[in-house]
Amino acid sequence: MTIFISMFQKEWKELISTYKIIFVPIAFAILMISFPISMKLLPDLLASDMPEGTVIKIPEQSTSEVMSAAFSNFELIGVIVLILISMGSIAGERDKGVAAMVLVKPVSRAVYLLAKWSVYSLLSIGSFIFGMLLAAYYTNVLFSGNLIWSDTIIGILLYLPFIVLIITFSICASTFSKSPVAAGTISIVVYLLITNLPKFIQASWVDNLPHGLVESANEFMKGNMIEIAGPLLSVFFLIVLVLAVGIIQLNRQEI
Amino acid sequence: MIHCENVTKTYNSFQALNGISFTIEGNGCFGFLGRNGAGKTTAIRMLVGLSEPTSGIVKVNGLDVKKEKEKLAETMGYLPQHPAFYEYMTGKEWMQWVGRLFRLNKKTIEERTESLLRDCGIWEARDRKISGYSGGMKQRLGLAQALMNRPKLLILDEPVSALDPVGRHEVLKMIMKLKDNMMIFMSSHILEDVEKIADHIIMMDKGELVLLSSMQELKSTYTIPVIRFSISEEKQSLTKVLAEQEWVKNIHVNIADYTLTVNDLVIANAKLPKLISQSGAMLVTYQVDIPSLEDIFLRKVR
Repeated sequence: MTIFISMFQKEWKELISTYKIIFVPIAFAILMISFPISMKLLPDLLASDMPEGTVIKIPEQSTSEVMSAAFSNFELIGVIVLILISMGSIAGERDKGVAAMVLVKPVSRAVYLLAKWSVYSLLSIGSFIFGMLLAAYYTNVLFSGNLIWSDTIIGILLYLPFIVLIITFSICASTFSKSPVAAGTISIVVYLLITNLPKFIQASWVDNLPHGLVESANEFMKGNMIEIAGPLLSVFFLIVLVLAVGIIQLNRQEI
Repeated sequence: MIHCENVTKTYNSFQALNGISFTIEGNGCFGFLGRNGAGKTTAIRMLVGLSEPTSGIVKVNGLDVKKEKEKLAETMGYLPQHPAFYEYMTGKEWMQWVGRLFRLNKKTIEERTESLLRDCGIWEARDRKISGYSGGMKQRLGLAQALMNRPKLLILDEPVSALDPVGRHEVLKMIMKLKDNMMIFMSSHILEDVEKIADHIIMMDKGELVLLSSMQELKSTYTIPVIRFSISEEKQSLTKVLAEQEWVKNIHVNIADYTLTVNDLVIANAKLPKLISQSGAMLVTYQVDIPSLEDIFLRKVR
């Protein structure tokens, strides 16, 4: 445990030194609040390009719809940001030779990987919560002001395991290659597979796959309660499985 | 203690190590020599647990490098050829962090950090970020951190290659001091340095062990002195007399230029000038060559 704490503290310090601890929450905040703002300004933006006298009528969206859309926005760009910040965590250190300096100390490869995974998961969770709460606040202010905070918070919390899953993919992909770019590509391909493949399968069990959790989080934001146990369990199972594969792979690797 | 038994390492179709076996123990400095691509770095990476043998057994300090990596790390220090660090840390922070990885208490970490950074000559730069260190300073920091746990075995891969002559001299002096208390396994291309500080030599070529010997044994076996001299004129009688001498092992004559391989340099130095003078010739040049480690190395790997 002492070693894990030392490794964790080191990783944390690295986030501070590399300013990731500032840039990632800012990036997420911009990403999240840009959606409610652009939704609010959409009629004015459209009108500016139209001939004088054009009447544009767009029914104002509900707060839950705006939040749900902001959520979808994150699914695309936010995930890429998450992969970009974490893809070089192990691959880069192996390439530079720092991993060799660390792993000849009494640090198990599992602890080395788990310390990175924990810190990046915390950073991503914190940044996501920060961005989503800001988006919720702006949505509430800019739109009708009747945001149901409890539904929003449950929706945010439900999305967190999925964020950890993405970080897990990215960190573990980084054990397969010395190139951060290759690790990032592997993560993006795997992410696209787990989010898009289920759409082509017509079966009831598909709802229990990890992507079902994103759908559930979205539904909760809209105030619809649905079954979450299946996708939640599958996400946790996948996190443990991918971590185990990452640790085994790192143990087998030449450093 | 290092024990290797029929160790092989294959990368795809390339055989980097070809069944090497040796056992070394005790304190002292073991110079690990070989040409580029001889398999030195592969062997070192295996000894420190960064790589695993394709077949065979590697035990370091009695521990299997495959199964007991963390225990092994407790007893060993390692300086790679190109040490890399978290460059946002200062030298002092790196040392303190390494101390924590060895579960040392705060007081010990502080004491060792100061003494090691002073001994390695980078105490003044302790609060500077490592990103601002020169190659030589990084090498020194690499050596200091490898000693943080007071290891039984210190493995150094080209420890002085990035240092200037002063730095090289200081680090070698430090290794000389350390070798009384631990086993130092050092690879180097600077054979002059190895000759100065090593007590034993291990030589590799094309993935195979070609020599394992104490320095003393090596010198007595391989360093056969050669005397080269020239006389004023050709003297066949001198050649005949020299060929009859017990201390002359081999003789090569080119008109008035002689090359003698001798068994005993002391006797040869005492008797040879006399014999030349008795032959009636005048001595023009006289030179004694004792083969260096480099000569032995070249002879072994060619």
